[in-house]
Amino acid sequence: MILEARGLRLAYEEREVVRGLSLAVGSREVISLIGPNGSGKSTVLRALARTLRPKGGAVYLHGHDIQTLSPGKLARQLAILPQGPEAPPDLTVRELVWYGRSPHLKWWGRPTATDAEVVAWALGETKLEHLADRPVATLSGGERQRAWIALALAQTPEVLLLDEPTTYLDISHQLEVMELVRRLNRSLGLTVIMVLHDINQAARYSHRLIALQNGRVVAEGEPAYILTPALLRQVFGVEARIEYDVDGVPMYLPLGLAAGG
Amino acid sequence: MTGRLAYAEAIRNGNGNSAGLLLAGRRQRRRQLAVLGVGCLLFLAAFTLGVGLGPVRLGPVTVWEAILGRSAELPRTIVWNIRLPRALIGSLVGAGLAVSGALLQGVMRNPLADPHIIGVSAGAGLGAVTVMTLFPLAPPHWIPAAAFAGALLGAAIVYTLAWRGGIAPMRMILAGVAVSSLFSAGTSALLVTHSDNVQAAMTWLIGGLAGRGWSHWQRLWPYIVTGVAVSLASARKVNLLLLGDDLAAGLGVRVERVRLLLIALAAVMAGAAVSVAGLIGFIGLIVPHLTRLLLGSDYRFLLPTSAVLGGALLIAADTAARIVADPVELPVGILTAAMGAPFFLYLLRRRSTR
Repeated sequence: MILEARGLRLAYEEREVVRGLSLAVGSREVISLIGPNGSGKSTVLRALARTLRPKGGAVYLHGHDIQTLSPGKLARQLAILPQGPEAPPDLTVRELVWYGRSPHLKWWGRPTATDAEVVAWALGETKLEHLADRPVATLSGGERQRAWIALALAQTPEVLLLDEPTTYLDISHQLEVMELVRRLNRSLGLTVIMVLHDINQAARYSHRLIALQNGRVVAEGEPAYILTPALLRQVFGVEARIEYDVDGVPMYLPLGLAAGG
Repeated sequence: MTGRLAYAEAIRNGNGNSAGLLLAGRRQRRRQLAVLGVGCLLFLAAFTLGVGLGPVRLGPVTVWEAILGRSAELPRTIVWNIRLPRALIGSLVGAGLAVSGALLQGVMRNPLADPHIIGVSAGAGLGAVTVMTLFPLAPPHWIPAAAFAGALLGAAIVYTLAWRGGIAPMRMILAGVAVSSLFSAGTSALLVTHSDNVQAAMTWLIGGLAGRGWSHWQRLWPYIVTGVAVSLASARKVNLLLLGDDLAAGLGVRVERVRLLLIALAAVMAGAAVSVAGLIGFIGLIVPHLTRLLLGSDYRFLLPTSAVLGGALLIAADTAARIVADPVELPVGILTAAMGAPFFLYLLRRRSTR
C-alpha cells in the first residue's frame, strides 16, 4: 500500500461531509473516485493531500501518518491539482512549472542543474516547450490543464491527485489529459487518484473505481465488476444500460432518471 | 528527486532542452533586474533632490559631500539636522507602506488590499487622537506610541474576527472595513467632543513629515528594516500563495502560518510608518500595483522594487509638499494622492489598450 486512509471523518466547520471512510491505494494504481455532487469526492482528495485536516482517522503514506510529515517532505512525494486553479495574469508556463521545484529547493532557493532538467522534462512530457514563455492565462483550456499537470510533475511525486482534471475541456482535450495520465502511470509508475465526473472515462482509464455516496464508499473494484445498472441506480438515481467494448471496458448508456429517484 | 520511481531514467531519456529553457528565462530575469535598477536610480535621484531642495538650495554634489561630512559647516548643519533625517524617514515610511500593501495584496489575493483595509490606519488614528484629545499634556512621544499600539490592536481585532479555522481573505477584508468604520467613528467622536485639539489632530490624521527628526528615525527603522528583510526572505512563499491555498499547501507551504506571519509583518511595518508620519494614503495601494504593471507579479522582484519606488514616491511628494506653496507646507498625504493617482491611471490605460 502506498497511500491509505483509515476511518476518515471530514467536515467543513460544523458540516460533516465524510463519516468514517477507509480506502487503500496500491503502488502504480490509477484510481478514480466517482459519485454524485456533494458525495465527498473532492473532500476526500483534499484530505489525502493534507489540505484538509481530518476530524478523525488518518491518512498514511508508506505507512507514515501524513500529519507527522513535514509539508516539504510530503510535497516531494505527493502532488495535488485542485479544481480550476488560477494563476496571476502574467505568470508564464515556465515560471509556473519552476514552482513545482520549490519543495526540492533549500530556503535560499538556488536551483541546480537537476532542477532545470526536471523542469525541461516536465515541459516536454506535457508538450509545452513551445509555449514556455506564454502567460498561463493566455493558453487554451487544454494547454492550461497540461501546464498545471507539468507543475505537479516537476514535484517528481510518487502519487498524483487530480480533482476533475477534464472538466470544462472539449472531448479531444479530455482524452489528451487522460492519455497523459495513462502514459505517466505506465512509464514512471506514477500512482494516480482522480475525481472524475465522466464515468465512461473513469472506467476506461482507471484500474479501479471507488464509488462514493454521502461520504461513504458504496462500491469499489475493477470497472468491469462494479459498474452495473444497480450501482448507477443506487448512487446516481439513473437508469442505464451497460455495454462492453472489445477490451471488456464497460461503458454506460443513460436511459433516464430512475423512478422515485 | 524521489528514488522510488523511474524519474531519473525518464528525464535522462527525455529530449527536454534545459539549457535553452534557462536561457529564455534569463531574458525575463534581465528585464526584471533592469526595472529594479531603474527604481533604485529613481530613489537616489528623489533622495538627493529631497535633501537638496528647500529654502537653502544645495546642489547634488554638495548634498552628498554634506552627507559624507566633507562640505562646509552650513550645508552640513542643514543636511544633518533637518533634511537628512526627514528624507531617511520618508524613505522608510514609503518603503514600509509599499511593502506592507504588496504583502497584503499577495496573501489575500485581492487587488484592493492595503494597510488601511486591515484596520491598521483606523487603529493608529484612534490611538493618536485619544492621546491628543484626552491626554493633551502627555509627553509628545506618547502619540506615536499610542498610534503604533492602536495599529497593531486594529489588525489583531480584524484578524481574530476573520478567523474561523482559517482565514478567508474576503472575510478579513469585510471585517477590516467594519472595524475601520468603528474606529473612525470613535476618532470622530473624540474630535467633536474636544474641538480645541482638532487642528493638531487633523494635521496628524492627514499625514506628513513636518518636524520629524532623528528621534522618530530611531523609533522607525528597526521595524521597517526587519519587516522588509523578512518579507524578502518570504517572497517565494508569497509567489506560491498566489496560486491558491490548496496548491500552495500542496507545494509544501504552511499556508495559515505563513499568512499570519506576513499579515503581522504588514501590520507592524504599516503601523510603524503611520505612527511616525500620520495616515499617509495611496502609497500602500498604488505603489505595488504600479510595480506589478512594470515587472509582473514575481514577489522576489515586486517586493524590493515596491520598496524603492515607495520610498522615492514619498520623498518626492514630501519635497513637493515643502516647496510648492512655500512657506506653507502642504500635508504630504494630499501630494501622494495627487501624484500617484494620475500616474497609476495612465499605466492602467496604457496597459489595457495594448
